[in-house]
Amino acid sequence: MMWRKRLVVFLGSFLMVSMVMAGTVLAEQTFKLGVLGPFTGPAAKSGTEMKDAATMAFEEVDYKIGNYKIELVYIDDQSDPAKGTNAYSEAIERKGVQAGILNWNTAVTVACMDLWSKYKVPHFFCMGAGEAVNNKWFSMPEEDRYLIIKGWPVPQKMVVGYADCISNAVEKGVWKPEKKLVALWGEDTDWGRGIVAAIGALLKEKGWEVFTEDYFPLTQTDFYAFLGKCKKAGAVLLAGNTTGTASISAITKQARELRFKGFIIADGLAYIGNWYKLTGPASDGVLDMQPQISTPEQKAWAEKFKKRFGYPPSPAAAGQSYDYGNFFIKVAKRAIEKYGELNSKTLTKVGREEVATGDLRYSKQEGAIMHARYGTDETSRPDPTIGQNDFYFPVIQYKKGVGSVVFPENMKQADLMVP
Amino acid sequence: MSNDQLEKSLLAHMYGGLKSPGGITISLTIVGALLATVDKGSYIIVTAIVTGGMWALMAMGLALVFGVMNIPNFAHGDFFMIGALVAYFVFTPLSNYVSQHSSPLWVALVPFLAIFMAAGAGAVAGILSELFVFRPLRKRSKEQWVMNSFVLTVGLSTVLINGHQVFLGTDFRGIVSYWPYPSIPFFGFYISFDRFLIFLLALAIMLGFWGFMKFSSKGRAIRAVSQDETGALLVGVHLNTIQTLTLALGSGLAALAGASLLFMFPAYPTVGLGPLYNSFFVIVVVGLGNVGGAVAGGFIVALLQVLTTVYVGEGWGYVVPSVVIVAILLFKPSGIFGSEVRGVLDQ
Repeated sequence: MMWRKRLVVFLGSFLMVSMVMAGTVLAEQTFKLGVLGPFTGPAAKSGTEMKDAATMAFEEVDYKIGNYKIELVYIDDQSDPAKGTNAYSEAIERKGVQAGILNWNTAVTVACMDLWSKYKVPHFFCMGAGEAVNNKWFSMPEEDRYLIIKGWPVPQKMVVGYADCISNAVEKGVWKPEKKLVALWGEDTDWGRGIVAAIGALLKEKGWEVFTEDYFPLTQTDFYAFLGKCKKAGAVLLAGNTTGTASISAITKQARELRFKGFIIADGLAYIGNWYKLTGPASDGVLDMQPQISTPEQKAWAEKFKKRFGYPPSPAAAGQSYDYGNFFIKVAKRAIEKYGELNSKTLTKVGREEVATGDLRYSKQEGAIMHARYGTDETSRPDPTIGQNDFYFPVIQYKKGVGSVVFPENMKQADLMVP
Repeated sequence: MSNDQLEKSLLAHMYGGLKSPGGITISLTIVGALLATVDKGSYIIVTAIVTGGMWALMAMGLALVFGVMNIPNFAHGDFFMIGALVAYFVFTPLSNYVSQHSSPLWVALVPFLAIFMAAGAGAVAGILSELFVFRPLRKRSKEQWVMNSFVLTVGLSTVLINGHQVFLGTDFRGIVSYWPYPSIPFFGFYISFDRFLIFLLALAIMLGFWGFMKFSSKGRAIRAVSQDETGALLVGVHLNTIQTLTLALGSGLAALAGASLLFMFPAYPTVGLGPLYNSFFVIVVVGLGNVGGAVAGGFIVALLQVLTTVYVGEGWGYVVPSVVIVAILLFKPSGIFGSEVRGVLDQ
């Protein structure tokens, strides 16, 4: 009889403990967040940095926002719009992704915008941000805009610094080129064409003549013929952009091999953390526009990243992705605070009501590493607000693998080295 | 034969060669290159020659495998990738050690060590492919051989690319340069010391390969199998050995190309796709399986690409050569120098 009593007590206790545990499990819900990026393909290095940085941001909150457990679903777009949309569809339909952050390539962003509308899944902070994205965003009815805000402005707004820096050097007599002839080059995508066209237009306003404007695939690594014709024509400035890691290192190195005597603007050279291993001393004197890892906070973060993942982070791909991961955490907390739940609907509401209007931003005071403040405003959206107190890239010049700010004057760390 | 007769015979032979589609093409190529050089500058001919050597090296291996084994090897680019990877892992630590110990002789020799070790690794990969992929297929059935073997190579390529991603990640493993010497001037143009030396190496390899195929017993056996497999079997050629050797040579050449060009193509999973497409351009233009033609074809395709970049634009680098190739194939479907591949209907 005793054993029966003990059995009843044991079973009852077990049942109570199970119910409590089940209750705990039920109270903690899972929210699946898609992290979109090119984890394979020609921009895989940048994609990997983005993935690792986003992971780091969520690791620091133990993958918890409120009583939601955050599960990151990595969506590999391979820098290809068709593959990206397929992967994202699968992530939504099969894995239950309810929102997404980040990406790298403009064409992928443009392709996914219809997908996000179709599934009513909000997406935040795309870094694939060419003008085609803005054109599409404005062409969509407001209720269909599920790209909340971008993570990078259109290149036309960013590259003003190059033209100003070069003009400043010429006007002050620091640089005396034989003739103001520029050769433009870039990746054959919306992003590359946008940046290059913008640089070209700005330089033309300053009296420069464009010798050629050539575009090539992301995987192109042989530029001898292109550089040969530019050098033969007497171009003194090579200006361009590509997100292809091997490509941008190759054009920089080969320009030096051919003894090109002039300025090289290689926008995006330091998109990946270990770019100097591919480019070496050929990068000395090259101009770029990148956020820098120079403050004590940025250096501490970079050290932490390197310890965690085994390689030095890039400011653009890794640094910004880390900040956007944290910005999303802030948005998610706000959604829970305002609406009591975290799902596609509440995130979309907070996104449209507060993030896209500029009411909700993320600043250095809250832990932002790379820029003073992230967010947009009524006139800038869907782009981030640009300015030295917001999202801003100074013009930097490399020497021995380290970039120093050379423009604007009030942020200068070193004098411009002229060829 | 008297000297006069010999001379007449040689001249007749040369005239016959020049009249052939291959001869006309080569003549037009040379004339085109010279005219463009006069118009735009010496960099055209220098770039075309140096780049052509690189494409020829890559295309030779593909043509060999196609000509002897009738395999359109889509995984050829991945042997290029293997070569680049092996060269990186051999060169980087050795170069760091040598530069710290200031040994100029070893600074000069270490790149060759890395390149030839990479070629060896590629050859081994080719042997393994033959043993575990193509030989089992041959044992099962030779029906639809060209299509089946092509599909197999696509699968092999997928495995190699994804294997790289899984085990080594997606990092770009490259070098700044093999040799720390300044660029070399050529008629007012400069080329890097690496490109110059790799071009010489490519010439030496092509010469050595020609000698092997022409004068060695194994080379003659390979040529026999490519001409007539049954006939070769009847005269005692061991088919399995020759096919293994062929794939080893083809893969080894691809890996050697990948290793040689590490300063230009860092190792990453899909690095071999671009060189693969260039190689297919070359062999389609010159004739499938035509190894000798592949050498000339490398230079022809390189010149087409250079002229396109100079006169049309960099981004048209694949478009214009593709249009030219289509035009050539309309008039000469077997390629400029003729195909060595036994047609599908012959199987």
